[in-house]
Amino acid sequence: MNRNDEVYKIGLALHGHKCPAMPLGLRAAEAAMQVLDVKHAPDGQLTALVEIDRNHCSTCFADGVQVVTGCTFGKGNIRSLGYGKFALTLIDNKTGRSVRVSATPEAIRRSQESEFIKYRKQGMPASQIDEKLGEPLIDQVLTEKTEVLFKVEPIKEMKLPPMLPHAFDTILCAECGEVTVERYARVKHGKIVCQPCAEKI
Amino acid sequence: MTTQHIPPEWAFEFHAHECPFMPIGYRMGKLALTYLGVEKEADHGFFIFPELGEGHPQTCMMDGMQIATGATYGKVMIAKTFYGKLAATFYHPQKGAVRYSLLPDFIDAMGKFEFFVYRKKGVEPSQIPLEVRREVIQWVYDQPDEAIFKVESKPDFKYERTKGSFNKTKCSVCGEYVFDRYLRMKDGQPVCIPCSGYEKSVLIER
Repeated sequence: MNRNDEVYKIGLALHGHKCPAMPLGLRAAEAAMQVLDVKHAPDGQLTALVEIDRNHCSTCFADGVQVVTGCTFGKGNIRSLGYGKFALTLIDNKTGRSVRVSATPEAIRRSQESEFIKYRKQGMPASQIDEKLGEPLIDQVLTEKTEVLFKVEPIKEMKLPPMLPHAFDTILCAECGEVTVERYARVKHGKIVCQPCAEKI
Repeated sequence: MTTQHIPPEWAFEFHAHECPFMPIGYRMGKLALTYLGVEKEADHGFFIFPELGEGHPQTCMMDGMQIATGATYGKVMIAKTFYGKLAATFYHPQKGAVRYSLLPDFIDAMGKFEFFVYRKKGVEPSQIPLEVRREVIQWVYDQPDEAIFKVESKPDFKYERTKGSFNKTKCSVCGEYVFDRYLRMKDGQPVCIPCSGYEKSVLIER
C-alpha cells in the first residue's frame, strides 16, 4: 500500500489529517481481510471489534478500519471494546470465522518515538504539524511487512448474538412531537414519549 | 436538484451502499457546519451527539455526518445517545451547539417509497435494485432543507472532553501495550482488562 492508493486517499478524505494511526488501521484491516478471504462489506456482512476507547492517542486506527472493511459507525457494525489497545477482531458474520490482529509493540514504539507524536504530546493538533515530519512514518506504516506491524492470531469461530432485526416502526413523542423508533419509546403517565422527554419531570 | 450538499463519490465508496440516509446525514452535517460558521474539522475540535440507536435503518445518517464534518468515529468525536431519535446535536466549543432533527412529515413521505418495501422485507440495501435506491435518493435531493429539518440553537449545551492520554505500559501477561487509564493491577502486576479477567462480559455498546 502507498499514499497513491485509493483507500489511503479515502481514508485521508474521511479522517481529515495526516497521522500514522489511521494508516495502521488500514493495514490491520487489510491483513484481517486477507486471512479471512473476505471483501469490503456493502451492508452488515462483517463486524469489526476494535479495542480503542476514548481520549487516548491513536484512536484514529479505527477510521482506517472503517474505510477498508466497510464496517462503519453509521451501519453499526464497528464496535469499540474500550480496552485502550490497538487491535482489530474481524468477524465474517455468515461463517462465524474471526481473526484478531494486534499492533506489535514495535509498531507502536515507532509511532510513539516519532517526531510527529512529540508534537502531539505538546498538544499541537495533527493538522498543524509539518507534513514532512509525519510522512516518513506514514510511508513506513503503509509499506512495512505485515508481520512486523501485527501479531495475527489463528482463525477462531466467533458468533455474536444476532443483531436485532431492523426496526421500521416509529412513534411520535406525545410531548415534543418528534419521530422516535418504537423500541426506544418510553411510557410516562400513560403517554408514549421519547427518552429525553421521559426523563423530564 | 434543490440542495448543493450531495456527497462526493468517495462517500458512497466508504459507506459501501447507496441508501437515502447517508446523504441525509451528509447534508445535516454540512448545514450544521454552515450554521455554526466552521469548516470541516481536521483535528479534534468538533463533536456530534446523534440521538440514534442501533438496528434501525436511519443509523446510516451517521456515516454522512462523519464524512461531512470530519468528526469521525476514529477520532472519537461522534457518540450516540441511544434515544432512537432521528436527530443530532453538533457542538463546537467556541461556536456553540445546534440540533438538527428530521421532520415527521418528511419521514412519512419518504417512507412511501419502494425502497422501504424492500427494506421491510429484510433485503439489505446493496441488494435492492439500483433504480429503486436512486429514486428515493433523488427525491431527497429535491426536497428543500426546511421540508426536511427542524433546526434548534442550543445555547446551553456543554460537553467537556477528558484530557488525552499518551502514557502506556506493557501488560505483564500478554505483552501488549495498554494506555495507563485502562491498566488494572493483578497480583501486583500491571495487566490489561482482558488479561485481568475483571470484566467478564464484553462491552459493545460504545
